[in-house]
Amino acid sequence: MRFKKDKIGGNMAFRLVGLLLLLGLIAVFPYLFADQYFLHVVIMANIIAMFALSWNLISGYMGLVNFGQCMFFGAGAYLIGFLTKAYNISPPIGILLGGLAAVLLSLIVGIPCLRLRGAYYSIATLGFSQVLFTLSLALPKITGGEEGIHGIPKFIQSVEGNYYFSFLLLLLSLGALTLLLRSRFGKRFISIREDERLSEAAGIDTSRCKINGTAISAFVAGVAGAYFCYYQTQVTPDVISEGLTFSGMAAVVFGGLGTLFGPILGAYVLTFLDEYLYFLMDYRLIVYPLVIMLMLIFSPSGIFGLLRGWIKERAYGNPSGSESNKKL
Amino acid sequence: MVILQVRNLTRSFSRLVAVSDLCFDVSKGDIVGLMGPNGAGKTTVINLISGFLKPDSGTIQWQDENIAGWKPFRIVHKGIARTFQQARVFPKMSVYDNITVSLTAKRRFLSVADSESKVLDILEFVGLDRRSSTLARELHQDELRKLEIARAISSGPELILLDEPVSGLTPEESDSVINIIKKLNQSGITLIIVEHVMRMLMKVSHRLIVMNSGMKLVEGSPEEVSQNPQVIEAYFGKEEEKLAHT
Amino acid sequence: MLAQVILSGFLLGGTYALMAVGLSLTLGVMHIINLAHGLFYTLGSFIIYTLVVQPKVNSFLALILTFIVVFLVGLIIERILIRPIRDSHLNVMIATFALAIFAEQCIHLGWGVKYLSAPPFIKGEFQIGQVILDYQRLLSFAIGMALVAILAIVLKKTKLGKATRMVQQDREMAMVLGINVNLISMVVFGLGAALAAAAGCLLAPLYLIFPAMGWNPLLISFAIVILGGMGSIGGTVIGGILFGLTTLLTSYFISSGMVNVVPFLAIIATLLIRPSGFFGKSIF
Repeated sequence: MRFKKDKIGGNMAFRLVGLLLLLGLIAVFPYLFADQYFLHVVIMANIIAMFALSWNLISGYMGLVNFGQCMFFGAGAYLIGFLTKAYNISPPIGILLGGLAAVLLSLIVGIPCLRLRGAYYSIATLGFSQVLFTLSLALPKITGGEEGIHGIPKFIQSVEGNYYFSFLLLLLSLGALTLLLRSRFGKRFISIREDERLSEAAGIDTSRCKINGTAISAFVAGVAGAYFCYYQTQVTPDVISEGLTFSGMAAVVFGGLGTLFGPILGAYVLTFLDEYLYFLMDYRLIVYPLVIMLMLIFSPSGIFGLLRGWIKERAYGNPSGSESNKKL
Repeated sequence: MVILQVRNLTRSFSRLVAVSDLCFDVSKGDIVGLMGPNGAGKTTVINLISGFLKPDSGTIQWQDENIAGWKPFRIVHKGIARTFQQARVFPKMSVYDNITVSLTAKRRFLSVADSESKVLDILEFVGLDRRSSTLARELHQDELRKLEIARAISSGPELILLDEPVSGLTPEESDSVINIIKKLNQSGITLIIVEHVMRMLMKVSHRLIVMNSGMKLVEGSPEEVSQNPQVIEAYFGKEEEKLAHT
Repeated sequence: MLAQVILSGFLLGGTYALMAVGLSLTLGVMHIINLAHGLFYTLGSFIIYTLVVQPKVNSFLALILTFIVVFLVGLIIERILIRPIRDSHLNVMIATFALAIFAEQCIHLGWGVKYLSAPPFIKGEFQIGQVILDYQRLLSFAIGMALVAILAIVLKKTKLGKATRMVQQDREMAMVLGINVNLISMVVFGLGAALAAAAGCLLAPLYLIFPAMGWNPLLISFAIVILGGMGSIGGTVIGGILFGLTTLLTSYFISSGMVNVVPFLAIIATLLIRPSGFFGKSIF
């Protein structure tokens, strides 16, 4: 007897068809719409989505609310900057190394932070990332200071090529994280988040789990950062700034904390708003946070949570119980 | 055959001595009741044995190793599990997942099919098999306790420490839990049960250890202990004094 | 001019301490992380600038007005933004962070991005030996410390203060005892905001005013609170002074670019050595 948990649309086949359709749409899209700027925005959205997924893993699923996640993204990006100035490495390897650099950083930061609980952890991670940010500005000889490092060779020349590659990275990340979170490892993360002491009593090595989870989160962020660097052909201190962390957090909150697809949805919505509402210019940073605040007050499970509740009502006639934060 | 030896176990919190120079043995297959009035230090002893607290001094010999001060998960892997005074479960996970998490924590490479059948076995043992897909937070009080016990069983322990397993339950519910405890013992598991209500321990324990103010007061069979005047004074003496003063 | 740097650092630290005490209140009593604390500091500076430069309001009066205005603003924010989401630390952090960004942008639009400068409360300086100090620095320190002292007295002696301390220790028990916990939360938040604004006023004549000025003091306040621990005003003051000293000494000996690194390294070092701060008890 297999246990099937309650899923929207229930049927496995139904979901598979939907997924294939979506993939097909993604594949042919550039041929239908040749608007280069639009493709560029999609690429940016994919990168932010990866970053948001990484933040969701560590903060949403593991409960380690990391206010310095940008440092992992920045580690990947800056590594590419340093490497390409000194060596000639193939970009796929570079991207992999970017991820590994972030993992290394996650160990340096994560191990000392193991003993910190709750908000202390958040402040410490904020502190670490701020130190790195300050260093990136204050050590221009290494990091290029405010200007950053320019002239990094492009990985893929065409916009369409980058479009596909960014989707590849995003789907790989999503796939890996989905597998992870639905497996026993994923349940361990959730159990640590719910009650760490109880997890210990259940025999879980919580320290090792936390380090593993942090490393995975860092890897995804680092890969995103490394690719970002190749795409932009430059790296500036923005990649390690609080603004980036906020973008990731906002995407997750907007899309729905603790869901798998929420961060992606949130990333898309916010990136598109950001880029296309440029005529709002200065008002972007007013609207954006305002929306976040309203979201938090009225709908903590984000747009995705709302959507899902809505779909469930339509599909089954009655909303399931009282949970507003049930996981996918 | 003695499997657990506690020697000179001591632990203080600032100026409060919670456990003082405690010594006792537990043999395989025993059901040992640990009792005493509130504040006697019983839960502290459980915390010390299960790794949630480090002792200031003393040793806890388990399977030829001194596990005093070890991290909780290591002690679980070594074969000692515990429950909590207030039933603690993972509220947003299903009953099934609650057990799976703890089952696979130690036996990491169990196949999905194997773990599924083991989880179901355990749930059947405690009588929760029909509630396996319910979220833990929707369970009733007695079901929560059973889930806790199931969780403790799932790590495959040789010794289980139960912290007030029947507190807050009706007599029928208590009996149901006591049955589970007896079944556990029959299958070879050693148990240390903390309670501060005598009646329950009398029904179940082979031996009783009575603590008061962190120290061992007396030790013996339930009959011996219940007649012991020191024990009576520890529980009721203070109350008599209070009565006398009002 | 080492002596001068040391003395300036000491005085600066006193004002930092004022802001940190405000944060310590919200943290300790309401158990929330308020990332908008820097925003209130910024507001303080901007409001006093606006009052003093054009309508030429007296600086001391302006200080009082700013205090009241920001206190009210704090009350409103607590009621609308914080109370609905108080249960989730994460949500409060994100919401206050968003608020800070939102407000910074509004200030940017309202006052422009230029660096502004407020006139001092008192002009002039005096000299002790080799050390030259302006009166403003001394005054800022004095007023800051006075406010801290007043707060300490209020907390210890008044009914409000006692109620606040009860809420800090055990919120539920306080509710059971009939204390209006919601009201206390509002007042505490408003007070914390007002203290940050006061610090902003006191430092406005000494440093440049610009929309993003609040982030560094925010993080410094956190560093001080963590260093000095919760529930210990004395510890916070000492921590503040230490901070002022290290900040200016860093600037003097190393470079002003590295100034931001100091608070963070301090936080990190403290958290690692002593996860609950050096004085007082843990917040969470």
